[in-house]
Amino acid sequence: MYFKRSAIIAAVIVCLCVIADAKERVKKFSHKPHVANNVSCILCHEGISEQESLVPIKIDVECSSCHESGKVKAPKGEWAPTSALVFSHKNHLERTGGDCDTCHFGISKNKLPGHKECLACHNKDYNDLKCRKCHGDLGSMNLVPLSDYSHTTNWMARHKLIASKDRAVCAQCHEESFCSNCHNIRDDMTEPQKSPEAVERRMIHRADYRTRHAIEARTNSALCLRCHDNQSCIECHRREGVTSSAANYPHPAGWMSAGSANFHGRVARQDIALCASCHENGTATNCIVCHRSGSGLNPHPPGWSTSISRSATVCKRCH
Amino acid sequence: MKRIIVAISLLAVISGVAFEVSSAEPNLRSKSYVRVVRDRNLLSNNETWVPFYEYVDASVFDIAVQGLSVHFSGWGRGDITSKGDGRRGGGELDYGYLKWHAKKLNFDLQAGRQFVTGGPASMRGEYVDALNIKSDLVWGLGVEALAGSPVRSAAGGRSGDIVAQGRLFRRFGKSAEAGFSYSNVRDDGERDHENVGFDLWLKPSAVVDGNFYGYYDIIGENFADLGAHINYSPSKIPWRFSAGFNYITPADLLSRTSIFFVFSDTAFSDTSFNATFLASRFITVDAGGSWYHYSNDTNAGRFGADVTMRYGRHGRNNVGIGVHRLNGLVSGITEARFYDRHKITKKLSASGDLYGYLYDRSIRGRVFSFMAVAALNLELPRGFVLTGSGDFSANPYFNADMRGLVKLTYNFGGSSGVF
Repeated sequence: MYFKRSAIIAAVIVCLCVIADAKERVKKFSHKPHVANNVSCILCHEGISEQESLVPIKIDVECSSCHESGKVKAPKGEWAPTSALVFSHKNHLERTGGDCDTCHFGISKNKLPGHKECLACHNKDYNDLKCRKCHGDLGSMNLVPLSDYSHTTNWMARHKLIASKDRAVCAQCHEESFCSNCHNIRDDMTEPQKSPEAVERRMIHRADYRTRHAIEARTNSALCLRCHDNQSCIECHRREGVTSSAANYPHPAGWMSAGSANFHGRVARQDIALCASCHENGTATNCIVCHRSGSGLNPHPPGWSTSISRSATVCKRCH
Repeated sequence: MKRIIVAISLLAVISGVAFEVSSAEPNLRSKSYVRVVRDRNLLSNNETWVPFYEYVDASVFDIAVQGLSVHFSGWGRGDITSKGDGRRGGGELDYGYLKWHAKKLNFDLQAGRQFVTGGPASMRGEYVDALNIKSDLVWGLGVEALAGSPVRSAAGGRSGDIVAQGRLFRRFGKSAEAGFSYSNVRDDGERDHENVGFDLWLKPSAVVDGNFYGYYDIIGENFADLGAHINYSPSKIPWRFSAGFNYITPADLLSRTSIFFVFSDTAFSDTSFNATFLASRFITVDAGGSWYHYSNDTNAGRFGADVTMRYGRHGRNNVGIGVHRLNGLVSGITEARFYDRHKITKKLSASGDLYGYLYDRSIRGRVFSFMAVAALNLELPRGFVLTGSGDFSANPYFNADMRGLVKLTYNFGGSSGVF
């Protein structure tokens, strides 16, 4: 009942917003016929040379002065699209000597300047990744880098190396909290849970990761260990009841049989970190129970050596 | 119901306060969540859990003197209904530090909780309460040093846990940088990790760059982590390529105070290759694979491809499809995904995300699982964004798992990015 009522309220809010947004829409204006008929830019854009922003431009001219009344609906007020770009028409017109065509050469085809036109002069800013010089408030813009800065070709594996070299490059688009959204493992929610609307992003713990994680961890436990220590495995497994005492005993048949393909010694040599994800919970739960010094079950692999002192706590547990 | 009203009131108060604060110099960003979760686990019965989250991050620049700034991010949780584990709330400071940047020598000093992003200590990505200094010297040389205590200790409490790291580097114009590093981690006063490392970044041309690094484990007497990544981004053809190699000894990532590191010296390597085809300004095809080889002569790997397309006016809508395959050591998984994000109006967008998984071996009697996610995103005046989402999934653990989320995002301040 509660969910049904919430769903109805949400649907009503969404409908109202759609209607409100639709009311704000304005009729499209075409530059093409105006340029073709040599209508001066200044006729409509009067005062543009003093404008410190990109838009809006108030249209004071009456369309009916050229068009027969009733045939054309004149756009009213702030008809131009709003923009978060940091831009001064005044500064640019001073540099171009009042020539609009320097940037607006595609206006006869209704084409407004884009990156290509801006970079004719601002190439250095682009190469130096000074995005915010123009894109002042990236947070309010739904920007996805299209080509040069798009995070393609195994970006998940590569981004660490790039970020570690120069964090300032990442900071052009991302706040630091964007990093901690994923990297802070002390968070309650995973990033896919926090940002379900960000469908274009690739996230490791997406969808049914609960089922997949056992297969993933057994294939590449190092990937897990780069972010999670084995305590986080233990905490979750204990909470979820994945323990040797529960009905969900995780080990396959033949686990304790030396000749078996599933023998635990073979698996442990393959990936001891996997064992540690459950058994790092005191001497009563780990290998020492059986593999104590003098038991005849030497746990060290052939040729094993370490520079750690034998007086260290970890050695003294057996020796 | 009363608690929900209290929570929503709290949300409104926090939003109001946040907005008021933002009118000053700080860049303040915040996200509020109300989740509805059918939180069922293997031990307990069905339970509906309704937590409320508040995430805040802020940065204030040029405090008192130019170049001095403060940055922090944290979250708090209050449970509208009980979670069932006795906890009625939680919270954490993700990061919080004071930073001083001096233009002379490009000097940076950071004091407080921060993420370790470079050097051997970054192998185990973690946050530390530390002092971090970075400065250029002369002749292209520079130095970095970090010392502090890990936020999350390896074992047995934080007393005596220390992370210390130093790096000496040399820049060669804008085309190369080489560094040598040393790190020492102590857990309860004992040697936990001791590494020496090298790193090399090369950009011989505008279209090629490479990263090479190696961290040698002094205690284990082998390479804990050795890697190389090369990226080729030609400007005249619509292709991007990358190749990588990574050699890891997993036991070296474990704490030396853990008994487990004495049991294994198995290492494994990961060789990967990826190619991206920019079919047009709006269509991208990405394909690649990784091959895992273990020192005991077993193999595994993964491969897959994604096609993403932007469509509609100015390419403001996204659609994507992907197929991925993991040939794991104990089983395999095939994943298929389809998503669409569509701008309904200038300020309202809707998205749908559909996942399907096929498991080679049955898990709890199932070989298939799926998840469907739907979300609505509405941009409100004054920088507010309201998001509502719901998801439904069926998997080996749940026949019908449902979750709901309402998120309010607010982003104030001057220059700010994606957060």
